[in-house]
Amino acid sequence: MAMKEELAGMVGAEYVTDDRETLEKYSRDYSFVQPRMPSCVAYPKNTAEIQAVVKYANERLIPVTPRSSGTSFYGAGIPSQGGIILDLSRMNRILEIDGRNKKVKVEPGVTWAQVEDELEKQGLMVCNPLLPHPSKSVLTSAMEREPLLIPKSEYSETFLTTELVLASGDLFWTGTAMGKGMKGQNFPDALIPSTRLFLGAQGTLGIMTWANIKAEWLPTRDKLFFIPFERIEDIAEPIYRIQRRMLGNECFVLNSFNLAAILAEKWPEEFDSLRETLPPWTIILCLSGLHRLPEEKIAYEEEALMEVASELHFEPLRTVAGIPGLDSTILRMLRKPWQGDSYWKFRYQGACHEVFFYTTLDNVAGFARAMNEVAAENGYPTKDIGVYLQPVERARVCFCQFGFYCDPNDAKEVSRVHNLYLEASEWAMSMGGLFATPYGPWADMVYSRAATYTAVMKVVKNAFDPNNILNPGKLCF
Amino acid sequence: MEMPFGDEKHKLIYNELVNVLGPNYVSDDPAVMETYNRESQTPTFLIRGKPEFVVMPGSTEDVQQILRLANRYRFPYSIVGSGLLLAVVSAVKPYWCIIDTKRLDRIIKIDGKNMYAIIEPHVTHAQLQAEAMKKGLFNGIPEAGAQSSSLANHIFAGMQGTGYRTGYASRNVLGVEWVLPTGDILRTGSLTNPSAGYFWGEGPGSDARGLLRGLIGHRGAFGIITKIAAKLYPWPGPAVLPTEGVAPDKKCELPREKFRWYLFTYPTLHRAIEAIREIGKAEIGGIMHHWPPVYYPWWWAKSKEEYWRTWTTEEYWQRNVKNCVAICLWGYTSEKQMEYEEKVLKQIIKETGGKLIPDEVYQRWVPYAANNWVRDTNGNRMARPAGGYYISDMAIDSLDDCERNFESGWPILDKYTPPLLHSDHPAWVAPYDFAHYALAEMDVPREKDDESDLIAVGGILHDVITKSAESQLPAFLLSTSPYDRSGPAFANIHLLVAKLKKALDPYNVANPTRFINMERMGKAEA
Amino acid sequence: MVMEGGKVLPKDPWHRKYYWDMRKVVWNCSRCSVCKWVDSWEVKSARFAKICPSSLYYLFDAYSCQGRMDVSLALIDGKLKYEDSPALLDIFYKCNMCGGCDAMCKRVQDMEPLRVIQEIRTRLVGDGQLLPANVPVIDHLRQEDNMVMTKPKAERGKWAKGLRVKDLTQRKADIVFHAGCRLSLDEELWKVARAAVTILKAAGVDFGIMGKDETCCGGRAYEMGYYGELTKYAQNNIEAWTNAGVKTVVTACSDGYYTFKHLYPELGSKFEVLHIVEFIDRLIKEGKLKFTKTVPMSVTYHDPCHLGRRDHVYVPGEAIMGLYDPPRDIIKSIPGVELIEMYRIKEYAWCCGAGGGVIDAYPDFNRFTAAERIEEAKETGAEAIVTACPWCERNFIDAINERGDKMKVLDIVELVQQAL
Repeated sequence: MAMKEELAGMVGAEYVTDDRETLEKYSRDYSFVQPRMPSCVAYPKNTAEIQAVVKYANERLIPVTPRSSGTSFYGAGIPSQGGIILDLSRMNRILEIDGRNKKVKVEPGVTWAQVEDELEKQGLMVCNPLLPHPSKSVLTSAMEREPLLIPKSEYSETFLTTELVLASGDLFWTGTAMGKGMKGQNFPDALIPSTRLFLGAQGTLGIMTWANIKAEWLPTRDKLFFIPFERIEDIAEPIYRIQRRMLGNECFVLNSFNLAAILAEKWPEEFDSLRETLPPWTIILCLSGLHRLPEEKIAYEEEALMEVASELHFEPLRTVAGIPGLDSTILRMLRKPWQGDSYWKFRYQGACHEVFFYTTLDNVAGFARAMNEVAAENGYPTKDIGVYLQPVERARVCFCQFGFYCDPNDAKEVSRVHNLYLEASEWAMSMGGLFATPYGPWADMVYSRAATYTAVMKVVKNAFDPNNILNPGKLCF
Repeated sequence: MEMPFGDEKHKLIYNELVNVLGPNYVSDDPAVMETYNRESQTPTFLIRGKPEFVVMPGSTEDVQQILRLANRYRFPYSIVGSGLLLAVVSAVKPYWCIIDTKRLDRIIKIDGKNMYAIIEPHVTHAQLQAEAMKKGLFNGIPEAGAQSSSLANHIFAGMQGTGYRTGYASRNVLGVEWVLPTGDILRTGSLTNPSAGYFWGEGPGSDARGLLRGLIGHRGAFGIITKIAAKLYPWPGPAVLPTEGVAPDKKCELPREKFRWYLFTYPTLHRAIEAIREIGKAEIGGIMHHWPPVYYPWWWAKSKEEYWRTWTTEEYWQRNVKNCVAICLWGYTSEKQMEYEEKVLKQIIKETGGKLIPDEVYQRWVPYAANNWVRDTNGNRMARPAGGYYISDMAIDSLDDCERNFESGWPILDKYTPPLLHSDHPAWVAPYDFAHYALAEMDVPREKDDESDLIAVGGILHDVITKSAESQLPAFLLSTSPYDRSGPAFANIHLLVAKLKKALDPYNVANPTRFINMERMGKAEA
Repeated sequence: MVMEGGKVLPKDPWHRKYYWDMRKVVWNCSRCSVCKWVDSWEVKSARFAKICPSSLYYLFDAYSCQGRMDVSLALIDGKLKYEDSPALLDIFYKCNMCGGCDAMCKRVQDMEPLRVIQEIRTRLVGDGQLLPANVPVIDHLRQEDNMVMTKPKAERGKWAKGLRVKDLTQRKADIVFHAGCRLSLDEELWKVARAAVTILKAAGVDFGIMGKDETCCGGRAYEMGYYGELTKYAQNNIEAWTNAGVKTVVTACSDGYYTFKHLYPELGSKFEVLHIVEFIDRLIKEGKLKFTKTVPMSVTYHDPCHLGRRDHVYVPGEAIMGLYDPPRDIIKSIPGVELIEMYRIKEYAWCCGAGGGVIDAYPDFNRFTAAERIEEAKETGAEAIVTACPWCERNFIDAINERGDKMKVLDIVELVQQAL
């Protein structure tokens, strides 16, 4: 029987397709990763259907690539060796919202657009990255360890536990989800391997059918501050001090390019104007109060912030570039996915290619200079680099993201930015940046530097997926 | 079990170890072997196997060489930190070599700005904290006590007294240097990039720390960790821990402008737990626990007599700290932050119906024992009342699960009391990460004798493991039991782990029988 | 089963109220390792965090208190025979008997581990298991009545030449000043004994010395396991002092002080025993000793083990109080002196290295231990290390000379003398 018919028997005929146009859509994404056509796309509704498909594929050595998000940026969802795409978007239930135990249980197809609105009704939120695409899977964000806007240590490591379908088709659970007797099932470390093994794995060790993710109480009051800087070298110390005193909720840095891209409503004129008038660098810091005496909390935090500002001679403002209502504007965006028609990263030229990695905050300026150098060497205007810096765990480390833009229809442009992207990645890696999620071409760069890690990962892969059917070709598999 | 000291294989191994380390750092003396075979939890009647060799590597390369020898000549080994829980690494087979980490004792670096420390295995929590405090930082210290190995604890258990803010120890491990059973060196996280250093622990990609530990670690069955970077946290206190008095009569009072302890009781455990939940929701405090009354004299009593008098004769603790939430507010930000948190706390205490403990009780206990949870927790004092203790059924999950865990665990304790000693249904609740989840643990004093050992292992342990497997609770004792026993109840995890073990440790020389008993599995399959 | 009010108590009464029982003590060692480290609350430096010199130097757990408990258990239970282990004697003798382990253990348990080590040593000697390196030391003691190898007893009284002190072999006095072996026979340290005598004279008390007829206290030999030598010298000293009408024994040697105060009473001694620091402290507080000079010096004070934590009769729960404060009070009362404490002091002080027979039997270990203390002292920035025991002083002088360091070593009585 043909694959499509077989799969139809598992998920229903209307939830399998092999039409060319659809397959082409799944063959590529916004990354530079080489496109590859799958043979079929299946849309399972539940765990049992996933198990059936995976078991079938495993018996026939057919690759299976899971997709949860409507949009794929970094190549993880491209079926690098063909096979079946398992699109999990039909599994879009929020299974449980548990404010008492601060967690939410979601299926892989639950998006940022869905989750924050739903949780808000109960006064809760899931810590989000910066303006995620609305169709991005919350589970995938957490699984891929995307950095959070709120750098509180107590909020970090949001991904708790999960249920997975292994390559054999059997079910597996991580953390206390392994314990059917547990009510919460929300502690990531129970048996070995723990939840961590499956994070950052891009679906190569198992397909997640649901996950428990940390939820937090939504602040009831917020007060946003903007701290402008001319030089990136001046940013680290204020952030170190602010974070050491445990001040604030959201705290992140955008350069003028990125802030303009987020704020501009009319393109390109408003963007161009904002780019010129916004400070080169802005720390955005949100002071928040929860349920009890929120104004008092904000008041003491503000006082402490002003103390730090006085020590280091910077000025926390309520707006920058004279933009009226900027704080309200940003606050509306802060805990939601992107709301606009065109995703903010694509607004400038249509395509955005980001180099991102971790380093320590005191090294960020050096990396920024290096990125500028590489850009200049490739004839790319440095003013067109979008920079986002995210302190993590009270500034223990800093996530750095450098965006390079091009018109996806201009082959020459694309080629230039592609070269730039590769060079910038190599350079950042040689300077000591940690590429914790080695997407696409980073995989080779990362794993070629880490022979033993690669060998151990292959041992793990062989244990979990000896036929290498789950998203093969990703990471070092 | 008697070990075949002195046969040809023994001599060969001994000579090769000396070739690697030099004669000063290898011993096979029978008296020296006696000193590596027992501790308070080791039952008398179980195998009190003595190792045949104890070795002291001085570097990661030395460790590699030892492991390569072990693979070549097929002798088993395990590694010991302080040896507080030697039971999980003691010798159980012939030719056993214990790797004692005493020469690997450096704090290699403390990065004060980026809040981490790189340590070797024989650095204690106290050493690390003493140095970290000088930089305005600290590390969380677990129940094992500050004299235990910080690295070992980070990769084994680590309840961390300050876990409400600093989390469970598993999440405080950044990059590690890991000598695999074959002698190859695995580096994780940012260490995978030779230019990067230890600063971050994720991945790359799939995170190998997922193999390092779960609730507890693999105890060396997947290799030996020779360095870790451990997270440090902001410390708003003084650079030196302030103390008064002479042992054992000591006080530690932290400056009141930055640290304030509140202890308040409730009519029921449930209500105390709900108060914890409410406080976690408000995100205030630096340390928070619910300790059962039996714990209070455990760390506070300066003598056995004082313990038993106040615990049983006077019932002092039951009367005064039952269902008691203990919280210390920490002034990270400012004085106004302390005022704010006090206001919020008082609000919560009032709303939830809590009652502050009498001042006399507070003054009797807090200055002498509360700040244990910053520097020295209590593990080493647990043997004072009767020589031993029993950790029953420790599990971490939601606060709702805590109550259920106690309710199902207490009947087992009741069944085995005696020989377990009076503990009045202990219920230790330690919330983590602002109470996203919490530890539920029941520790009970027990007499260190054969009868108690027999029942502890043959009786209680069996009941707890059976209960855990039946109700599918992957709790502590279950986690310490070899996976080939418990695996079938947990998605056949033992089959996956066996594959990993076979690939990483082909000759089964890395702390064999612990974590997973490959020989027993092999026989079962045959 | 033992019950009280419906509650299950330990069956063994030992757990309800501690008493000495060697097997129970060794059995109940929980391997917590507190005996190897400074009290956790008091750790101020990673470098200077250990309390046990032999654990730090010899590394293997056999050379820690915990290890000695394990081996003792094996010996008591017959699981280990003397002939089984070439290392056995070293395990028990590579120990300064400083009591650091004992004090730290008592912080967390009701135990007397040092007493175990002492009794095992006595047992070993009684069973003819003699550490070869100790044999010439004891032989010398038996011949020359002192513990300073190479020194004959004929030289014992020379330190007092010209001092015009009452000779208690001929006359009587209330107080005997016992100089001790080290102060009597180590010429470089005579100044300490002489300074002590000067102070006693200035105080106007009725005292005398035994001069060349003074003998060892027997304490060191006892710690080496030779109980017979202790009793012999105790009898001798008690008789001599009784004949001299003595009521109070004053000494500047901490080893001697400990021996007279804690070991002699069960051998019939009824004398009051004071260390010279107690005496001086008393004089200062009574206004009988006044400082007229300023001594501009920064110093750090080393607590001798036998004056500090070992000067204590164990009562479970009570603070392990030794003479920590009197020397400090003295130092602080001397005009111009600045006292800077080391990381490890009082009941958690690091040993100088000399005790327990180590100074003669394991000279490298002895030197290591002293050098560690000097390193720690240097970290304070103090110009001098001050202490109250000649064995400590000798060890520190040798360590400093060996390393070419500049730090001064002073006995507390020298410091006092400078201010008078």
